[in-house]
Amino acid sequence: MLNERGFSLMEALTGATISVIAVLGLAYSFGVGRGLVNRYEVARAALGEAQSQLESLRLLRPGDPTLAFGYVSPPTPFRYEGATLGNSNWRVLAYDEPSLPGTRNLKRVVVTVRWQQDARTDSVSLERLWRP
Amino acid sequence: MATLTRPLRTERGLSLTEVTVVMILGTMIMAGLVGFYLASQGLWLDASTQVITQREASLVASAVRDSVRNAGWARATSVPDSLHEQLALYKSRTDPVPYYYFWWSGGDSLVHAGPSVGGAGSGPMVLSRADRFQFSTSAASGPVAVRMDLRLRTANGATVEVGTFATCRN
Repeated sequence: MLNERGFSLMEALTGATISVIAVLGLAYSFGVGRGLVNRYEVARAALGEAQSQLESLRLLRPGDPTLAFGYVSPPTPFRYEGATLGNSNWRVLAYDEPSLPGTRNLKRVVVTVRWQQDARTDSVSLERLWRP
Repeated sequence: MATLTRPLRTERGLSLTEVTVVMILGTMIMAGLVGFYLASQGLWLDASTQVITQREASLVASAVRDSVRNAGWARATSVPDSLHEQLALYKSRTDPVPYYYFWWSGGDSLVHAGPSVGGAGSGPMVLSRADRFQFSTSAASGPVAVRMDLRLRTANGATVEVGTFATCRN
């Protein structure tokens, strides 16, 4: 019978090609996943750097000029596993808390770590509100 | 009887060439699938062990940071060596006995924590071995600040580094 003749070579080749494309897509997704693991490894380290930076700012006196409104710190190197991947700095912004009097009643200290990895620029920011 | 045994055109089966082509194609596809499976499994295991160690490094950093913040004073000592140090936390600067420790054990190369070194209630914090577990403290003025640098080794030999900084607030 006509419907029992099986597959032709062209049908088999078409099926194989589709399977190969599907498998390559799956393989690509695994590769992307591994790349994300590496990317977020540095991101975790950058977050730790930002937390440490923010914590070290607590040691400064409240009237320190590096915590004045509008201050932007010079960049300091961000190192991971012996290599300098980028830099970090902090800036001090005014923050208006409606329940407090005045319009510049809190300092918003933002620490940003930027780094370059595999031709991609990433950054992580961490902020904390301070009483002036 | 002769009519019954005569081979039909549609039941002639496969030629040797057809069988060979199908087998070659099948073998190539199966080899590709098996290779892909093994490669992806290796990649998956590699990524998983890396992520587990990254999480463990973050956990240690977070635990040290929280403990230092809750302490009143901290002291780091190069025990057992300068690459693997011990942090003792005190409730206050005048307290003679620490109430909590973080240390590296040479027996299992793991980071441990507890109220006493090797005593009851103490044990490893994570399962990844630590290549480096260093502390530095500073208290020029104001509260004691503690800097921790940790390097963990994954099951497949890669390393994960993490650092944290915290100040004693009690």
